[in-house]
Amino acid sequence: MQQSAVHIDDYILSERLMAGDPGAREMIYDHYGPALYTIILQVIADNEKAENALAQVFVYIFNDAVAYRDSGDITLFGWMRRVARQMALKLAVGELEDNGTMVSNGSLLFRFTTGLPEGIQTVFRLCYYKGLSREAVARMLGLHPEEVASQLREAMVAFRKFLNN
Amino acid sequence: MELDHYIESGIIESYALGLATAAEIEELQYMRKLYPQLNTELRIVERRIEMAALTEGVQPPSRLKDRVFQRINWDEEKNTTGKDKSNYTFINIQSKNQDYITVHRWWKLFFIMVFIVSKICLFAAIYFYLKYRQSQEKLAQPSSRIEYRVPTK
Repeated sequence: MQQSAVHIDDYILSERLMAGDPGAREMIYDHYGPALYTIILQVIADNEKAENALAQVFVYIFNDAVAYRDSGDITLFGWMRRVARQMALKLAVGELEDNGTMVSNGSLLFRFTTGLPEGIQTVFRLCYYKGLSREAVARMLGLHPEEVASQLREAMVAFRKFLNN
Repeated sequence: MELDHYIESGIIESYALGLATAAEIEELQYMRKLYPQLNTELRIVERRIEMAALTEGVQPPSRLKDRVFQRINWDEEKNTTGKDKSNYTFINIQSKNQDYITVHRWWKLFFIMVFIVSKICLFAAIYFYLKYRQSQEKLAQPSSRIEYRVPTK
């Protein structure tokens, strides 16, 4: 409860965004811009591409704030984070470098990923940072899709424990 | 118990990170309706990730902010002008070339009318000229007949 008190009210903020309030837009950019940029940099290696992705993310957020309401997402940042990752994955198509660890040494996800057992870590990296489907990961690693799904489930159980600690 | 098991499976974290499949998302939305306490769980997970993301954020280049807001303003201006086409300002960007003049569109109609009237006048002139010649010939013919008859008397 105490945690939610420090957060800006997502409902009011999304209302103001939908009304095209320039003050709300600026506040969102300043408050969430660095966090979203980091999420993008975890997926895209090239800085220029990452900047383009962030610009596209904010243009989408400002022009289509109504999509947040339609998505049924609980928090505004949760929705924006998913939009940012999807946009980054879309623009990172063809990038072969593993950029997941590049920017975020010491970040929450980096610490979590490096603490995973090797096999599960590979599956998580491919699914989260590369955006590959479970079937694609299974083909790549020579596993059955069910095995990949099971390993990803293990990763998510571990992530739950990690967050709770 | 079943709900606890569902929560402990990591489905909420999977959804929060964007790793859930379409079927899993559908199932979660159904479960959220069935068990509203899942929304609280989801909110807690989202907020924990958010708090971490906000503290570890990398500042984007300052020029990017101007770019984003310029694009938004441009989009809005485009939408406004698109919606209200009646309220536009006409700007004549024609070069000042002394070889050309600009006249009102009514002059076009006027010149067409003048052309048609001139053609009618021309045909009328030809017609009446031919009529005149015909009548002159008619006048000339009877007098020659009289001249011809007079000597026969």
